[in-house]
Amino acid sequence: MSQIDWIVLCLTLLLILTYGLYKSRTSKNLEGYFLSNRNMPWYLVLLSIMGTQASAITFLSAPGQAFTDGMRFVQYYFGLPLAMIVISISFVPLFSKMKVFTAYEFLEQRFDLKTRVLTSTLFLLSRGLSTGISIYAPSIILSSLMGWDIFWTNIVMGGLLIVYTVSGGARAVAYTQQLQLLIIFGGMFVAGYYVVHYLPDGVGFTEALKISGASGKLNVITTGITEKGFDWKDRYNIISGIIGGFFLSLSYFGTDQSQVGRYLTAKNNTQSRLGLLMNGLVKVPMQFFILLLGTLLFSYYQFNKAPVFFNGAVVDKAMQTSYAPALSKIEGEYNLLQANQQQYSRAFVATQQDADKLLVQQNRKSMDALQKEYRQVLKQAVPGADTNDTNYIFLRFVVDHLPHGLVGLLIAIIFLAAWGSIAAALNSQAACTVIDFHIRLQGKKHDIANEEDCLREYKVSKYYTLAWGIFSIITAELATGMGSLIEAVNLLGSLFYGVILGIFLVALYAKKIQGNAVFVAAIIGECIVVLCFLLDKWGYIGLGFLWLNVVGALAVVISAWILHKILPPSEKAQPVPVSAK
Amino acid sequence: MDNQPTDKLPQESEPPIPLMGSFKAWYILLLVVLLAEIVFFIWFTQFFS
Repeated sequence: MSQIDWIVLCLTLLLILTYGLYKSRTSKNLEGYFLSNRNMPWYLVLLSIMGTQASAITFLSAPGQAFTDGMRFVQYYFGLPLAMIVISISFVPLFSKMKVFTAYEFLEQRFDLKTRVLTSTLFLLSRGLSTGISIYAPSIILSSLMGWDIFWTNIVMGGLLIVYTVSGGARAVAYTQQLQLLIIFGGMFVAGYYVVHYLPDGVGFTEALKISGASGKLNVITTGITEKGFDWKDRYNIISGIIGGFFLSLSYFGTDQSQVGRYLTAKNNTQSRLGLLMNGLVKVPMQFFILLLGTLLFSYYQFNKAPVFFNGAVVDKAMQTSYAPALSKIEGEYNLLQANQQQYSRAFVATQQDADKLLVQQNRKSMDALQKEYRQVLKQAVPGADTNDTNYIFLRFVVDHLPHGLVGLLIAIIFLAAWGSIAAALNSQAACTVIDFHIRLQGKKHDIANEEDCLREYKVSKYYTLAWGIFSIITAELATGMGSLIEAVNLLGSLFYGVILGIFLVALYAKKIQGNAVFVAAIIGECIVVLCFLLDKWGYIGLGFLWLNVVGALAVVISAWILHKILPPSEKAQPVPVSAK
Repeated sequence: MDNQPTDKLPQESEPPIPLMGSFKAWYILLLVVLLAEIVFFIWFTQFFS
């Protein structure tokens, strides 16, 4: 990385850090720290929701996903607008009316303390670990591509944001997310411009799309229906996208405190709902354009030399082993095919004939087969190495081809995207720890008129935010040597989401069902989800992870309804709302 | 008329819904946009494949 890149990178990170500290001024009480005094306009709520959802991996992985698998990933978001409508109608007015700090606080008012503690614990467990992975995942990519030390990359990725998150709470998180998103979108747009700009003469935007379309990369809509019927294992198709995506979004935006905490900062019910609905409007087009960038990148590499494998660090390691000749042989064959591909692609752009298109497609298939073979050799040469290079494709292009200065900006974007989602996660984790455990389990009423109490709770909240930040960095550092465990942590969220959603669905729509029934139903639901997951893993059934959310939610709702008929009604303890005056 | 007593309690007025006037209109807009996007994507997939 050049000196200019380092300057741009450091200045951008410093700008966000300073801006976060500048916006840290808030009332020294829980409402000010966790909910920004409930005074945010809808557009800040929208940007905060988007900034929380979009992590570094979103911007690294999505273009790579389109590059390798095509654009069908966009279908994953089709259920999101529908979920925004349901949350806007059912969840937001209730949270707003009850003046809750956390989504789980509502569950005690509706059911009982144990249901609140259970769901809050599930949230803290999954979010606590996944925040660590949110630090580790982009850090390992950057350290691998740039040759940086993973220990220090983790520290910068997860450490600097702690300064403004601890200092300013939800307000600092929301304002920095606003600036972060502006820089991210600006940078991505410039990167997209350069991809098209670097295409050879006579190949414009439309021609580039035709090239990627010929190779099946513009498969935005797929049905998942094969000769054997619907493929339940297929991750991204219109059916799993609408149904599975709906349940996932409902769970994520309606019950995950890292999102609920964002729209609870709104001035009123209307502003919260508007922020969510706007998110429903912009999310699908936003993902479409990020994926489109990946397909343009694919076209670029049809006319230019591409590495067989985009993670150079693994290749370098493999070249030190006895497998080097085998790898070099494949590289040689691949380069020949690549030269042919450039020729065929130019011919297809010039003639638009089916015969040329067929040549492009056939040659691409041979190249894909060689890439597969190359990965297998890499796996043998470097056991335990990650042979999936999807997340490296976009950044490798940035580092290899973009002009000085822009490389620094694009790397800064990775940090900013990570900071946005991690900061919101830390704030929500601290909120749950303070509100659902620290204050609640003390059993005393929160008195907002008592300034001494407010100041003490405000300070405690800061300590918890700091503690969660340190915990996340330690998780990221430990993840370095864990390999497959990381995938397990990523899956953890999918295993809990459906069940948590089921509890909330019962709370909102089955007014007669009480605490004991829903608590036991949640445990039954979790067992069913884990069983489905294991059966899928062992090959007895084929079930994509999106469907686990549907299974979990339905299992809880159905079990709760049956148990409600069997179990005696639970005695409801008097809840102690934090907002009590 | 103005001075007549009323049995209605004073209620907290909801702020007006920006841009569309009502949330119902917002929900319809979201559904229509999603449908339009799916139709566009179907065309896009077929046109470029």
